[in-house]
Amino acid sequence: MSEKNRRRVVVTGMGLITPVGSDMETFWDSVANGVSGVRLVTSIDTSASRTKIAGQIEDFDPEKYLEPKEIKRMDRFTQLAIAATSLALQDSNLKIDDGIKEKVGVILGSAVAGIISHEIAAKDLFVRGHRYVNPLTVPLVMFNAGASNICMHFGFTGTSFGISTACASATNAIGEAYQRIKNGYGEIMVAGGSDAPISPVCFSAWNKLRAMSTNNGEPERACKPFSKDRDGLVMAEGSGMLILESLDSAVARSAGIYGEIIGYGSTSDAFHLTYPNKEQEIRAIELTLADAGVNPDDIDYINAHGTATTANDKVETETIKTVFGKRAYSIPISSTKSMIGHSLGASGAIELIASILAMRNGFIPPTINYEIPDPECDLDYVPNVGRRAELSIAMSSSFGFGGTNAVLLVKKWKD
Amino acid sequence: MEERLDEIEQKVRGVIENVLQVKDREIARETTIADLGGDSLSALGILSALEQEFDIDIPDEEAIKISSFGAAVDVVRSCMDRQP
Repeated sequence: MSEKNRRRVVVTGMGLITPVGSDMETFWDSVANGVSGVRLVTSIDTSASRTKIAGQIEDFDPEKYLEPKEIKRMDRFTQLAIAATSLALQDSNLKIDDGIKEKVGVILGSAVAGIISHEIAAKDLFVRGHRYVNPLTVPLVMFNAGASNICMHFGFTGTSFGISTACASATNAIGEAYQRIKNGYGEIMVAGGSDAPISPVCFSAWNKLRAMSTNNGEPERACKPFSKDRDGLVMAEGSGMLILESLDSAVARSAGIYGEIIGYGSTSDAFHLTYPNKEQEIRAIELTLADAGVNPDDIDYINAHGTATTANDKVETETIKTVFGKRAYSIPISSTKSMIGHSLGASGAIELIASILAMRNGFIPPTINYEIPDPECDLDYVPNVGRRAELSIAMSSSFGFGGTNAVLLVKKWKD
Repeated sequence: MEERLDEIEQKVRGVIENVLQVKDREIARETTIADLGGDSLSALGILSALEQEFDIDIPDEEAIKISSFGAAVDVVRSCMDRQP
């Protein structure tokens, strides 16, 4: 630990809703065993699209978590966020009474927030006319709808806001929540991300960006991070939420502790809207290591951004080599996106949860669909089959469009 | 001196000029998008505009070839041949 006078921040609850599992056991079983959640898209028409696959959540039932009236007033991204938050709170055993409510704040990351509701309203206006626009469109669509609805649903009255940094949103959300607690601006934070981007315009726009895989023939084998034949990311929906609290708070209520967030760093490329930038990725990792007061040699596992686009995986590999030097070749790195797909602003939270579960279970999830070695990506990506390993510190990195980079370090908790 | 352009070449030239907002520039077969001040995002714009202009789908493996005016013309021709 550094000498700075700061509070320690621990993770006491986790919850997620993903294409590979909507409870932690199923999720872990999938990612540990290389099970893909990618399928042909069924919720929208993709007949004219080059890409016809995505990671969809087929078993999500909002009525398990919400009243019918609430459901009508929430976009799918908010519903997913509330469901994941419910699971995380349950997991944390936090007793939500009047004394605790004002101590809890919420930071939710989302790349596209209420885009489904936005598109429905646009279609209603342009096709049917102004009388048909849902009067609740504004509160359905707004970027703080997720965080605000979490507060309303559970009664939390601490700070509450949304963070939108594209694919780094959840990592920034968790990082900012960690800093608040560390610096004494909060006791308990609900933080993570949620995105439901599988809607006609959004999907079509990604299709036009030519960033998505077109391996439609074999959806489960479509997403191939770090493999030479990778051809793009696979979009997914999902939410991951974590309960962060000060160590004092966790100890006082005898909470179970998963791990300690020990470092966070974030930089901006100031470079290009979609192409990654090695220099600022490197600096984000270095800032995170410095924040934690650890050396590159202390990192046992990297859960990579690993989107399976040509550019990301190449630049991310160069970044890791520069920061970690020779050791880069012996640190196991996996991209769990190979199985889950890329849930945009939720991905960082889901991947941090995967990293924590990896440390807890002493097992590293694989990067599946790794088929052909790429000379430009020559590190240990834990290809195709997971492996047993004792891990003490894991790094989870997220690099978003617009050039936002965010990195977290988490340490295994030893009672 | 520029050679005389056929109809497809003229349309491709028009698309490139329109997307990159350039006028009266000398555009030869070898002239690249970068020569005309474009970057990778402008290339995406040109791709999309070509698909609209010629009502074709340009697959990714063809799309990556479009770096110059001449290459764009060739890709458009081959896509039109395949999609009558």
